[in-house]
Amino acid sequence: MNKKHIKIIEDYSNIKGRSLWVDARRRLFQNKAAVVSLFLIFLIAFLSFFGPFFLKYSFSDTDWNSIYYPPSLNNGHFLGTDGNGRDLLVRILYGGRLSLTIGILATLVSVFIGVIYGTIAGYFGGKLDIFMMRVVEILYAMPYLIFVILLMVVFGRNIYFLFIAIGAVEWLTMARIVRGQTISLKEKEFIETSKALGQSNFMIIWKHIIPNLAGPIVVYITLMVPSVIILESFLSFLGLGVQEPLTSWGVLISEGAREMETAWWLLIFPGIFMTITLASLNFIGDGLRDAIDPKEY
Amino acid sequence: MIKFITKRILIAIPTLLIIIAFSFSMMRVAPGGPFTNERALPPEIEKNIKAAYNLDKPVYEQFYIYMKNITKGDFGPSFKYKDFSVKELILNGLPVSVTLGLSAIIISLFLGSLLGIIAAINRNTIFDYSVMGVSLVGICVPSFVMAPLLSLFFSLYMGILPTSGWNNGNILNLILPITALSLPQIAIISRMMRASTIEVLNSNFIRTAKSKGLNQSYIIRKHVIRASILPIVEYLAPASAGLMTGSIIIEQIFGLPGIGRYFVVGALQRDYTLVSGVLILYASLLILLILITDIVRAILDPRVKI
Repeated sequence: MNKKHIKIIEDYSNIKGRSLWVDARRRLFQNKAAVVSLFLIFLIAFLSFFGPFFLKYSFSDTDWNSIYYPPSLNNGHFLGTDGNGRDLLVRILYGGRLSLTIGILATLVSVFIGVIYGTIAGYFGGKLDIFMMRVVEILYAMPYLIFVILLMVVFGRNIYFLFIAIGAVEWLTMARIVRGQTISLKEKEFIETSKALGQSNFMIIWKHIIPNLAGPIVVYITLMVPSVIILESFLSFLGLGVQEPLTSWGVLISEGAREMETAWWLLIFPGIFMTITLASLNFIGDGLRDAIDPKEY
Repeated sequence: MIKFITKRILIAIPTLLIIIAFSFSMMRVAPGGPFTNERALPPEIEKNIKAAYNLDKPVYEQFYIYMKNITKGDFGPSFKYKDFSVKELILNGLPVSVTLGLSAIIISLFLGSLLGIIAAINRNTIFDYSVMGVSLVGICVPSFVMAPLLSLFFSLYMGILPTSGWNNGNILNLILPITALSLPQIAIISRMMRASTIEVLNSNFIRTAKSKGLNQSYIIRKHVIRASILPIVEYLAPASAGLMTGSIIIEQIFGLPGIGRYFVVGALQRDYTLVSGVLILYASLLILLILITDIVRAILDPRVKI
């Protein structure tokens, strides 16, 4: 081995290894659509949570002198006002706050249920697995949304109950994905080692299986938030979701649809905000999927 | 094959039972019964009313009676529409919803697969890009945004189509609702079809067919479509579920007197019998559809022999 080789080896040992996540991040940032979407989502989230503090109107202030103002830069109602003289921009931002919060919370509920259910079914296998997956299969055949509506009818239109109900019906796909991954993981050597070292099943699932599921879970979360937002808006559109004076994008769109003949902006602007959010989340989800697991899809 | 079908039917039956049991128990759990008025009824009258609706019997017996009535197609009386039974209301709305749903599913299947195949054959051309771009819009814009936009443009600005109403199934009244209902499905189906067709076009048996010197349209018709339509067949049940829920919104927006409309009105007015009747109807339709798709898939794809 001459000096040149030693030099190469020394250089090599100085190179920092790239972890899966560093690699994934690099691939994600190469994806232009995903980067733009990330920017848009952060912008919308930031505006929704902090924007209302910088505007001079509150979301529930009615002003009978400024009914149906069209969008204009002069009077401070940048996106116009609704039939009660409330500023549309503030209402859209408040609606965004609510829609995003429900989207994230309901997704977390469903991920929580799905991960626990899926790891148990996949890890223990056998008859338990068959039974648990049969339950999922049966639940799959049910029209979810109609169930959520029934739940909302029976238990009243409570906003906290809304996201629990949505989360409780959306966990099925998560459980399936997690189960599949768990089955392939549990055959790996490092799980066998842990077992040989006498670690309990619970600790193996918690310390070794779930961290290795992070990739698919993250991807699924980004793809699930938009579908929950749609679901919430759908319910609110029908009048079964969020109630006045609170508002969400679904409520705003439904009001806008009713008044579109006199005030087109009431329909168009909430629609634009919602569409951008949904599209961005979908692009991020697709980008993450390609980034974390480039070969599988 | 017969074993496969029986197995599927055996899964379908408990599913339906669970759904019926669920909606039955929801009706019982629900706060406030149909006879809780602000003005309390005299106890004798209340007793008679309860006896008339079998509410004085134990719960399991009530469930048995409910099940027995459902097999006869009787979902009980509607709580809010006085003098109507749930069955009458459903039968009233059924023609509207079936017309809407069937035309939407046929149109979205046909157009979606056609666009997907053409896009896959002409991959990376302007046609491909425009189909995929438009379908992206179809996926990202929810139907309750798209439908008002469509009626804003075509009815209010252009004035060529009516905004709402059923009008005894006049074709002009149907164009907008069906378009709004099928657009998202066309978008999803065309994307799926494009992806699966590309995969099939790259497979070995297509190369063989090409090297035998068959012409392209023959290959597409006889070899490609049969293989690439499989994911679409599998998607049929979720698509119908999507159309069912979509039709609830669409009927609301366009003021069509379909089942979805009754469902929403029932939900808003806490008409439990109506809501659970519609729920059971939707669920059994969906289960039937899943059963049919499973069988069609088994016929199309010889590999499915579970």
